[in-house]
Amino acid sequence: MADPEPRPDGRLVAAVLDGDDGAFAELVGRHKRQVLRIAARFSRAPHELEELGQEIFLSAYADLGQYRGEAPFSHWLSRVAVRSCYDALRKRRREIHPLPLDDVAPHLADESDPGKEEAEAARDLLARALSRLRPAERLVITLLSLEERTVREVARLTGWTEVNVKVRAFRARRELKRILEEADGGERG
Amino acid sequence: MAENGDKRLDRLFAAARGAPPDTARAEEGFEGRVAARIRERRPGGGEWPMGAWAWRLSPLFGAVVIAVGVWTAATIPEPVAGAGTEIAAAWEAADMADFLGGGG
Repeated sequence: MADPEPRPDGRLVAAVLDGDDGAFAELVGRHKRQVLRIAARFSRAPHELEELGQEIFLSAYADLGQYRGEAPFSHWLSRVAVRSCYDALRKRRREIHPLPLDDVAPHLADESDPGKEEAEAARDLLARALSRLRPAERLVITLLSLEERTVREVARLTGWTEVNVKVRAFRARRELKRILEEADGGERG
Repeated sequence: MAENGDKRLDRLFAAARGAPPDTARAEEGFEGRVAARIRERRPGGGEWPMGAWAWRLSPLFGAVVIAVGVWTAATIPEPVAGAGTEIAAAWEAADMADFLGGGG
């Protein structure tokens, strides 16, 4: 006997609102990779990723009645994820100091195709530099330059204007360059 | 200098994109852990979709409140003034008479 057709997201949402928690588990299973991938950009350890991923789905569950079905569920869920990541960044900024830059990875060689180790070193160095940015700037530059979203998409995800997104991206890049130059100075000195 | 900084930053971002975060471990059994968190939080009520049930059940709650009100009015006898109340009223009347008659 063939498997039944998977229920579309909209019908699963309606089922959850009618009290069917199994339907929500189905939604989580369907979209967890997309959500965890976004959350991973803002997490520094596996336990942070787990916590942030769960918070995103708990927020989605709480606000599910606000989903109108006008756009795909995955778009709505991405907005919830980005909002939760932004909240987590702001909260973390109040609690924890940024990651140190004193043991940063060396410069990348001028190659178009870095090896795996080099890519991981780059990701580590960027994570440390990004942890020193303001939450809004970090959010914008991560979505634009790591997630490769367009300015319009970032504006839609964050609820900020496109001009605002561009200004924050400009400031983020300027600040990142300054941080990296400062780290270079520290290495030499 | 600024150009070098830009190029370096672009190379860093390009390299970091080449090592996307690995979420495989977090994905294992994730639905179950989210479901457990939802069950944990449920007693809080209001912020969950179950809160919608409160609205759906509000006519029933209203009917219960009215029924309890009617039953209370029908079954509880009217309060009867006790001896203490009567004595206090008599004293008050006497005080009032004294005061009005200039006896106080």
